Amino acid sequence: MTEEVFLSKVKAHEGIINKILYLYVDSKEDKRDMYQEIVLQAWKSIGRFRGDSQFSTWLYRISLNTVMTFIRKEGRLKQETLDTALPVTMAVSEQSDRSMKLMFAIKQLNDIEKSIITLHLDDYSNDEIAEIIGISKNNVAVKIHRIKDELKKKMKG
Amino acid sequence: MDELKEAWNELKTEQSKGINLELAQLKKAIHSASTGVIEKLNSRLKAKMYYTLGGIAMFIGLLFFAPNNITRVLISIVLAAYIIGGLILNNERKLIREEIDLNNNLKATIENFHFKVSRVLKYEELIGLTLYPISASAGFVIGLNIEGDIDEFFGRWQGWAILSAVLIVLAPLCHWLAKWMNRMAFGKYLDQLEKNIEELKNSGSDRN
Repeated sequence: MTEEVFLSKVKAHEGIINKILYLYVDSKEDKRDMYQEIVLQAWKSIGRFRGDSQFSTWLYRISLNTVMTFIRKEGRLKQETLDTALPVTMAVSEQSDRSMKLMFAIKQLNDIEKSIITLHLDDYSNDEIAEIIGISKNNVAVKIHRIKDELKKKMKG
Repeated sequence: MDELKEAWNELKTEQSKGINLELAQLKKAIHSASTGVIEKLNSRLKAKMYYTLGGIAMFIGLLFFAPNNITRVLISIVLAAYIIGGLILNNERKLIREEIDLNNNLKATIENFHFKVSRVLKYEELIGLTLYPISASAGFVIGLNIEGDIDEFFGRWQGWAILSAVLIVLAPLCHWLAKWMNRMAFGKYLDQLEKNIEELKNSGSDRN
C-alpha cells in the first residue's frame, strides 16, 4: 500500500481513532500526541496487514494495542462523581443526559471491559471481538452480558 | 435496538468532534519518531551505551599512564567490568530492536510489551549491580592514587579490606537505586499492564 493510499484510508476512518482516544485519553494535547503515535504505529505495521479483515477492524486493533501499551497519564474521571464531571450549567435534553451518563459509566469500567463493550456497541460480532481482544467467544458473550447489566445499574443509580 | 445502543449512537456525534489532522500533518506523523515506551527505553539505552564506550576508551588510556602495577590491575578490573556491562547492554539492544507485532490481539500484545519492558529493566538492574559500583570504586582508587601513596595503602591487608567494604556497600546500594529508579519510571505502567493481563486471563482466554 502506498503512503498516499494509507493516509487517505486513515483519514477516512479517523472516527475509529477518535473513539478510542475519547475513551482512554483525557486531555486534548495527549489525544493529539496519541493520535500521531497511532498513525505512526499503523504505518509501521501496514506491511503485515493481509487484507483478510476490513481496514477498519485492523485499524481498531492497532489503535487499541497502541493506546493500551502507551504510558498514559492517569485519568481524572474515576475520582469524580457524575455531578462534578458534567457541567452543571449545561442544559441537557433527556437524550443527551442519557448518553452522557453512558459515557461516564463506560469511563468507570476497567480498560478491558471498556474495549469489549464499545466494540459490542459498535456492532462488532462476538467473533471479531474475541479476535481483537484475545479471549474466547463464549467469554465475550458472558462479559458483554455482565457489563451491560453493570452499565444499566450505573446509569439508573 | 436496546437502550444502551441508542445512547451509544447519540454519543457518536460527540466522539466525531475529536482530533482532526490534515493529510500533511498525518504525513509528518508517519515520518516522526515514536514517543512510545520502547522508544523511551531505547533513548536511555543509547545514553548508557555512549557512557560505557566512553568509559572503556578512558580506562584503556589510563592503563598506559598507570604509575604502578596495583593501579594497572585495578584499572584492568574496572575495564573488564565495563566490557561485561557493554555486553549486557548489547543484549538489551538486541531485545529492544525486535519489533512487537501490533497486528496481534490485545492479550498477546500486552503480554509481549510486559515481557520486553520487564526484561530490559532487569538488564538495567544487572548493570546497576556490576558497572556502577565498580566505577565508583575506581573513582575511590584513582582519588587515593592522587592524594596518597597507593602502594602503601594496598601493601597492608586493611587497604584491601576497605576497598572490599566499599564494594560490598556500593553494589547493593547501586542495585537498589537502579531498581528504585525503574520503579519510579515504569512501575505504574507495568502494574497497569499486569492488571490488564490478569483481567484477560480471568476472562478465560484461549487465543493467542
